[in-house]
Amino acid sequence: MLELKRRNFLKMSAASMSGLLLSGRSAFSVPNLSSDPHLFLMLRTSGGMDATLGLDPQVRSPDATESDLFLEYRPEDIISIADLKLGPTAKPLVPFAKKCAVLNGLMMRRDAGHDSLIQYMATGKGDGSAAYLPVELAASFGAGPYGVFFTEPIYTGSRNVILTTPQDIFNEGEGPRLSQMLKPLDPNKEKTSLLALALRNVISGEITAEKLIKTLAEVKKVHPNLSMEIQALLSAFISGASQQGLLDIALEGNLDTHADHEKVHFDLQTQVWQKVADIFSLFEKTPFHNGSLMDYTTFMVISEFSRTPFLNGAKGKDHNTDTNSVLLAGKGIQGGKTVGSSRVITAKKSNTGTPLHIATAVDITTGLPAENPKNASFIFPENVIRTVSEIFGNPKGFSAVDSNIAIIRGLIK
Amino acid sequence: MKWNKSLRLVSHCFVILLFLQVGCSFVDSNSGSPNREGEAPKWEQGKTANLLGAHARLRKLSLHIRGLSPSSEEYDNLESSISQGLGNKFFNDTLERYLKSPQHLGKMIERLEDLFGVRLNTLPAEKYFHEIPSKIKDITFDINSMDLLFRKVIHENTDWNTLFTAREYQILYPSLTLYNRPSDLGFLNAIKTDLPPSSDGLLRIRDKDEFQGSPIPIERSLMPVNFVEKDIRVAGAFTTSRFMSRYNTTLLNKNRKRAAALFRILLCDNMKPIIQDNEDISDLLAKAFPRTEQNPSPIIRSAEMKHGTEQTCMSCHQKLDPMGQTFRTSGNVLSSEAAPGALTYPTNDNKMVHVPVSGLGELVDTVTQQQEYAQCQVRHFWNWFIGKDIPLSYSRLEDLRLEFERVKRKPSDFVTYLVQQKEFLQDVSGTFSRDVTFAQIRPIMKQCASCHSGASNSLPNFENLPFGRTKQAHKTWIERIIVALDLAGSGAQAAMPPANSGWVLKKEEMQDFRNWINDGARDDNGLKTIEDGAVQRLPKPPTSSNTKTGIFGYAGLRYLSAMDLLRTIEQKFPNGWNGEFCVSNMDPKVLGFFNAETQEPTLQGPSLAFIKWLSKCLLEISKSEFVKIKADNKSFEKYLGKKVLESIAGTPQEDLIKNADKFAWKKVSPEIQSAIALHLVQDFIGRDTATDESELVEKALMMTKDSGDKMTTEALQLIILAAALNDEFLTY
Repeated sequence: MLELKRRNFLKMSAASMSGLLLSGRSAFSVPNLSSDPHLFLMLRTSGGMDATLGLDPQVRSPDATESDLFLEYRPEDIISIADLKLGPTAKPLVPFAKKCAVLNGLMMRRDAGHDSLIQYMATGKGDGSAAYLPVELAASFGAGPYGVFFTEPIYTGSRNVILTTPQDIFNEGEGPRLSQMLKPLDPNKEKTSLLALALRNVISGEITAEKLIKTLAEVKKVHPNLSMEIQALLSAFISGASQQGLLDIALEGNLDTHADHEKVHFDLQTQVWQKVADIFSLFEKTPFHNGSLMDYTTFMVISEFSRTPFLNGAKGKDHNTDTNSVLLAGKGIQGGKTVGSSRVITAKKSNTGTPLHIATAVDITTGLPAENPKNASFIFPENVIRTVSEIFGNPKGFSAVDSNIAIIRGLIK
Repeated sequence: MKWNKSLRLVSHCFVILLFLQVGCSFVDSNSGSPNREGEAPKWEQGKTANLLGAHARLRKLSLHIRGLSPSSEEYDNLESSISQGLGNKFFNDTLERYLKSPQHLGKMIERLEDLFGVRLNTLPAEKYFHEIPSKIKDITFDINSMDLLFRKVIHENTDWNTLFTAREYQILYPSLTLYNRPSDLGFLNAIKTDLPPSSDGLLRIRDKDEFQGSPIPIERSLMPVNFVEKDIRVAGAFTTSRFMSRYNTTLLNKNRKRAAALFRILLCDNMKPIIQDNEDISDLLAKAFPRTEQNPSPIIRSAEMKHGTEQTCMSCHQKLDPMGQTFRTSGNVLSSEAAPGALTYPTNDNKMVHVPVSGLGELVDTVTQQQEYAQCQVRHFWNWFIGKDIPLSYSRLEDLRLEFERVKRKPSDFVTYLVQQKEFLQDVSGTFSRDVTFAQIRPIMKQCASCHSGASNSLPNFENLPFGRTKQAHKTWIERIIVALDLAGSGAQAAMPPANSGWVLKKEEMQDFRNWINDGARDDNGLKTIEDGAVQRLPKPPTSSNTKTGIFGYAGLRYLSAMDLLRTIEQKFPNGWNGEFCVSNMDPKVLGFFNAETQEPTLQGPSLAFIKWLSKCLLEISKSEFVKIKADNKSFEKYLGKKVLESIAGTPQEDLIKNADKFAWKKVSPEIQSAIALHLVQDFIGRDTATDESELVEKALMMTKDSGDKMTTEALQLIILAAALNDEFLTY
């Protein structure tokens, strides 16, 4: 068997490229240059999603009233599929249930605001010391020549990684090819500035650039109605230009419904899950290596926190950092499974005097729901980040969270 | 080839001679202390006067004041002035001209927009704010009362305090808004009842694309809106629609976000909520279990209530909450009712200021009377014109504050003073180690002191040196700090700050602390307070081969912004300038854009996308420039350089001047090719600036070699590209 050293790797790459050009085969059918790629896509939605409407549906207990738990659906509207229970907004996920795992009862500690908490969720650190997970994986697991694909500002911390935007992917096909043109500027290997790094990538990325341009053209042809962001993402992943991405789910409204929550948040959250399902569907239909793009991609869908179980005076729901939910899907994920849970505590029984929707505490010795606060803890964002790191083989140099943070084994296939 | 080498040698000799000449002129004028007449500074005895060369000084001045590199003509004029012994006059005149330039206005507006966290426009700000027509017909022309206030202060060189305390505004009427915020008119309508109602002529547009192809017949003009001088409800840029919408409030937030912005902008006190992974979760656990009859736990406070009242949280909340109250009556529009509150904060010498006020206007007036306010504004100027990474000692800060007050806080006057100071004139390129004095450590110690205040009388005042009353006590406290912060280790075992304090030291701050101690814990004046070897040597960070650009990566603030690049490109290619091309293909995240939340650049340096964007923008604009030059029957001489023009006079190659677009590059002699490349490299990077100029010229020429049948203009494009894709072009 041919040893896949760098020289052979480049030879193979060149061969497959020339084969591609000669035969004129679809870019979709071209094997990725890596033997077993593992892609990662973080889908981020901002505002704070009411988990009771989607990933963590609830049924009002007999002793609870609407002022404890406001719900816009009946118990029979909750969708049960495999080991998953989905609220009505998450209905679009049903076809993909076997590939999805839901993590409920994620404790976000306290309300430090949208920015701090989305950062906590995306990095596993609430103090701003770590990079977003796609960046951390790019730095430790390895990245494509175009680095991390992103659509909205991404926090890179101290990681020196290449970042690429949809506009960049689209610009690639326009104007002159830069790799040959800039070859004499190939920086000395000792130079490690971001400029040097990026220049080196432009110069050495000719094969990928060609493939990316061809793939983008094909994607545009096959999926003319997709947004520019999705076309660029798909092209970047298929061509091997990027292996990690952060995609913001843009909505026609604001999920942060402190007022007039009813129906408005429901419709917006339905949009979120529809868009997620559309991406799953697209990835599933896209041939890649020996399967589909879905088979080679791990997805993580996040929002900063959930929302209070009751309506406030403005008929809105405020931030609830006592619980949150995350959807994981794709490669390495134990599909059709729910891990973790939350509970609604009525005002009468609540230790704070207000109704709570709160993560279930876990007994740290057994991993089962705790019966009392002794030896109990919660699942936190750092556990999720640590778990994804494990799914990627715990890459050397991964430092977003400490290696002694507990892994949520139930999520891993 | 011989000729080529000699040409380069002559060129280099010229540069060296020029440098020496300027060096001499500096030495001649070094007899006085820093002054406002443009003389060079007197250097401290025993220190090497590592001054910038004249070319580098011009470049630095131009970039810092205009966000634009100097033109070749300016370099020529400088050289000519120096040869006539008029170097200092040149710099004085140039400074005055730069300060009056539209680019300076634009650059300062951009800095203020970054400071307020409200950057919006995608073209350099002077494009919008330099000349405002009396009747505005373009509906995409979005200017607002905040930017107009910025414009007034910079344009008219008025008291800097006006930014924050003004009671006079300009707004556009009739109102039109492209964004999800109230128009300036709507914002002021409740408080200013003599204004036309906001529904009268107010046109709300969510998306300007709605109006593509169907121009709205609307003509707008500036309308003054004035309040009485000491109106307690009004406070300059803080009482604008743009500020209030940017820092919106919620029932939970209670205007703390707005108060935090005021503390950051006015007092340089940054407060950001963070979550530590080892915070105490006992209350969360208590919450997670319902009360039962057998176990009737006491009612516990919510995390938010607790957060707002615990001692460790109070270090921020005792400041934020009283200030936030002054915004209480205003949501997204300005209320006619003032809301009382207070200015509460610890001064530099740790005395608690508490001044009750009747409204936001009075609060900001009060802040501007504080010494810490003036120091903070000086710090902003320092960061903009000297560099955030250059240490500023407390005594130096005080000197500069006095000067700031002496020039009556007029921004141009203060900038004039600053750019003639030794710190501006020093050559810091290649000096990438961080000298740390107590000035860098004090903010950390101030935070420590803030939480420890009143905790124990046995603790010394951490904001002043020495810690404790004796030399021995000082040493002991430093040793205790080493342990408490785990400075000998990675910081993971640090006992301080406490996990639930909501505050954590950044890695850079930890390293500053280590460097400070290793270097003798120098005081504000740079004098050692502990002897070498008195305490253990602390670990240094691993050295990186990335030393040349290390400072830029660390400070993150010295890259040209995308706006600076657009300015420079327009200057270099005035005929072919089509900002639209570069702007429409520019991803605003590429470079130089601030993340409003972190107040740091979104990216720490050029990305792959940036290189591609800059390359394609330059190639497109330069191509368009050359086509336009030809179409207008103009000359290409600007792109060839003075020395080349002299060399080709009377030779067949003279045709280059008129027909560079048709003249084959291979017909240009290697010597002339080299001279052209040198000219363009110097034109972009600056003369006497690039450390590896000859290597760069070689690389640029290599780029032109691939195809033998290139026209000269194509070769020029490639050389320009080689010059621009360089850390030394892209950094201040």
